[in-house]
Amino acid sequence: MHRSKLVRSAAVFLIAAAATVSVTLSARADLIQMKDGRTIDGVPMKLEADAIVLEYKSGKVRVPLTLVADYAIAGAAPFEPKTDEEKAKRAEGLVPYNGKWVKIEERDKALKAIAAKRQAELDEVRAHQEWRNRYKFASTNFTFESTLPPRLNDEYSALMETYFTEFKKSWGVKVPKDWGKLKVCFYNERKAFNQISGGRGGVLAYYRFVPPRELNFFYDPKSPRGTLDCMFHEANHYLTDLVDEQFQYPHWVNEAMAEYYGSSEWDPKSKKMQVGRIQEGRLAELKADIEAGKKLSLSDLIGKGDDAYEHYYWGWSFVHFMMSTPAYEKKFRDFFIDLAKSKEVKRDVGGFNFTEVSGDECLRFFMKRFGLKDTDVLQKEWYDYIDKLSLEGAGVRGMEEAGIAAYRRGATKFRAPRQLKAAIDRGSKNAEVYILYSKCLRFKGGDDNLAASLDVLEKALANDPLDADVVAEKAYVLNAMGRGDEAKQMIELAREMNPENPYLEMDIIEALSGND
Amino acid sequence: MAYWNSLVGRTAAVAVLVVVVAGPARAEQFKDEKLGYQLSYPKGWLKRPVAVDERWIVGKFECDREYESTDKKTGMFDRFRPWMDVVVLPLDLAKQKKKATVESGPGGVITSRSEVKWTNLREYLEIRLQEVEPGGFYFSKEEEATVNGYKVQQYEITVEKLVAVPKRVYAWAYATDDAYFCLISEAQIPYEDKLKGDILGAFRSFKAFPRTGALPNAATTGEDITVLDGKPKTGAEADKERKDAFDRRLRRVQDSVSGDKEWITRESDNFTAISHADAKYTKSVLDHAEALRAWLDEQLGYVGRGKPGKILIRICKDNDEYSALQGTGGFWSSDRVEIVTYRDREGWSNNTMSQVNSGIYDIWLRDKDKDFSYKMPNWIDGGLQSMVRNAVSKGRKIEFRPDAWDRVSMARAGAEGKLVQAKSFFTMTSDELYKGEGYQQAPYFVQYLMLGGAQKQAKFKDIFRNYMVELTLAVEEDRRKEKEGRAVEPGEERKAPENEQEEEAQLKARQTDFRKGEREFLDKLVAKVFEGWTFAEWDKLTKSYWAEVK
Repeated sequence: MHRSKLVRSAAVFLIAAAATVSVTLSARADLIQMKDGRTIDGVPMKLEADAIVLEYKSGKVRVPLTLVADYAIAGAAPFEPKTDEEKAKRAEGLVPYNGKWVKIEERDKALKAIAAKRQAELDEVRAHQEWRNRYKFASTNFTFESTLPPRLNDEYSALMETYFTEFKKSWGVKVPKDWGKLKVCFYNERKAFNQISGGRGGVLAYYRFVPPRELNFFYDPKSPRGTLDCMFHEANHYLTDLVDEQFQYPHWVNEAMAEYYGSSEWDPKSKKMQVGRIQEGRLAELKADIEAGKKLSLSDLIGKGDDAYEHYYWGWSFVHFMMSTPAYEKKFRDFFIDLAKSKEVKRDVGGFNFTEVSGDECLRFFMKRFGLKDTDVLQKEWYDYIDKLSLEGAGVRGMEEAGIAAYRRGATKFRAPRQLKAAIDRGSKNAEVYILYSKCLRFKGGDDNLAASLDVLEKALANDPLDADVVAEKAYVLNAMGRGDEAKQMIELAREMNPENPYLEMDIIEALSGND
Repeated sequence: MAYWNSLVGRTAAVAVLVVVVAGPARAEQFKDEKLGYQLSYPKGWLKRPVAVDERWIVGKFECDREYESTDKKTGMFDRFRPWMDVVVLPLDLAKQKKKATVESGPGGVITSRSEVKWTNLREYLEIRLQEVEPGGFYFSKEEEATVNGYKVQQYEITVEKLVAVPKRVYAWAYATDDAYFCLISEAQIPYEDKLKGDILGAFRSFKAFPRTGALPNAATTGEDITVLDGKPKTGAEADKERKDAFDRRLRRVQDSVSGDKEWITRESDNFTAISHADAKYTKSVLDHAEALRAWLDEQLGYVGRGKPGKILIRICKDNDEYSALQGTGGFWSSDRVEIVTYRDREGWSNNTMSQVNSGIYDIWLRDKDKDFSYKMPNWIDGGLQSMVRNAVSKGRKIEFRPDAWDRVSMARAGAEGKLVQAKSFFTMTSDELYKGEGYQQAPYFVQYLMLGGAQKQAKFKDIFRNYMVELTLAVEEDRRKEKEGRAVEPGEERKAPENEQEEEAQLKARQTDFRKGEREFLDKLVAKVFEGWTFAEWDKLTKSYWAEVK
């Protein structure tokens, strides 16, 4: 990740021209905007026919134009006529521009104007990345404060409104008059989120449920789907609060419901929100638990009354089971609403004067609503349901999550490399998948495996030449191959690309010190 | 992002000149000849010590009173004591940041130096405020100004998310010839009007002059990571290394308080005290430390072969000074030789001495045998630690007085029939210890065995010593196995899996390896120490122990 801010500007556009053009910038640094929103600057750049070459001190990085949304590079590439017609026109003092032959001065004047406009747009977007200058705008049900560029602001605010409308319709909730619109704070990168929102450590997003209520999350260009997951998850906590503003749902169903809705997806064709998709990451965690012989019982899930992490994935699977099973869906929906509202439920006063329900009472009410004497039969049905859910059948993302989970569990010799390779073969562009697969091959050792390990990283760099983590991983492989000088150069390049990470892992320390 | 990072010195004449104004009302003067700066800080504020391991904060001041604010909506409140830090950032840092080098040192030591995390005040604040303060913050103001002829970058930072009461941080960076001198302070927003004047008055009073000492952090490139070569040392080498570590630490601590005549140094056989308390209290701490050391040597001297080295005890004037010191960088590390405590004035003397006791025990045991402390069953380790923490001295004699809460818990456990059986202590795994009552009761059982009723019965009086000796032998055996390349932990001897099924099976087995290994280890010790014991003997031991603690 580059030190430069992550920006995608609404109004920037590529100059589409038959001939090579360049935008001359006076006294400005070169910069490129990637299609995923990153902006890279502070490095001299050269425009080639189909790529931009970034000239770092430690090496050159070639970025195909197919990955670039826009660029502004100093120094005009001169027009080199090739055909007789081009030579003749050049002799008349004409150059191609926008499909016409024009005088050089006319072209340069137009390019300067474009460059200046572009720079101004980029400067404006950059200025708004400082929180004190953040964009502030409102939609029907939300107010937004954001350091993202306008295009992304429009996109995400529209999704929030659609999500809200769908949930409101589905659950019959409404916003209390005195609450006003919910404030949503959106950050252009994780670093800004950590600093400005105060969400640190492993927090990816949060919803503040006491006044002033607000939602905080960040945009991750490496995982736009992950960004949406977080947004929908946290927004769901707000929507759940609307069921009864005085009631705090037990942790297990609060998080489980948020995970269920976190995987929502907007289908532009049917113009409908699809809910209840598989949460691959959570399914991966579930499968890992089961393989380790750990199963959360239904009575513990509903009745323990604690804040266990397992509620995010075991809880998700139970809600998914309930909401996807026609025989149970309505009962579960009624249970969910009535847990907050029904007079049959005994509630206590908890923190911040919210009412809450104990684990025992929650279990009692659940069993009553489902007509159960014990949880054994339903629990078996639930476990059978989980067994039928397959990561390997869940598409690219499922296989990614399975492979990553297997790696983290230590299955680096067989299962993790199999699943990671399968994810890559299915079209994964997730750099972490490539890095972990490369590590699996590197750990095996031997010339063939090291060569294969390097090859995997070259494929990752073809997806994204600017991923410093991949470049650093390449250094470790080269080091293992005995190519120490190249390894040193790669590490230096990785550090230039990402100055915030010194990439000093143990093996590279030993290599760079000259000790074997 | 227009980070201000230009190299500038004092300017003689500028277009915009900020007139020098007087320091805060009723100010105190502070001058640091070594670093070459002076300022006035608000009257009644106190100069605080800075931890010797602190790299960036060179001066610390604190208000002599606390302020309290409450959020009317949530009822949450926050107590807050205004403070001011002086931080020095050499201008050279910008060049150093790029140099992350790796070097070989003498004796095969590899040292790698990572990059510095910041080169200017803004970067420093972005990182440090997240490290030391809760809450989300942003830069609400950022301006360049000229003050007293210096170019100064001025920041206001608003801390408003996830805090009970919002705060404002003020931070100015004065550009001198070779460094940014940065002044940082904060105020809760409800008290901003009251405090801001004094804070900015102190900021405005800053002046630099030629220093007599070295500029901190000018030569190094950031945090050092040292990787040792892991070769075992001879006794003489280990002793020398330990002595060098102590001498180095002593020099640094003495250097940090030099010039402040209120700090005194006192020596005893095995301890050196650097104290901001009175001489009488300092002597009482040293006397107690020596008594505890003598007790450890007598009761547990047979553990390990190492020679315990000298320990440094830093005694702060009071809890406020101690807390301020803790806030400026850690003084704990795995090879520490220093204990920090304070003169209690608020009735928490049990607490302060328990810190000293724990510190002496930890360092002593580590010096004797680092591996031993890792191998000890948790009930003994935890039990000994808890017991030693409550040590008090009467002259040269050590006594152990359990905490009042613990005594109540034990009485209740006795009344409810929840006292743990003697044999269970010797056989319970760490999981079982922490899930049940064992952890709370372990110190009592340890004390019973070492010093209590067990000592009055021929069959029981050597149990603890014999058990610890067997433990020492087990540690030696593990070291031999490691040296010979043999497996030490369960599962290590397994051959590499040949397919995915074997891999999964081994990973599953690994989940239980630790517990299985722990169980086998404990059972082996019991078999050796209690060979031939009958149920009746175990029952007698249990009853004897229960009689003492009920």
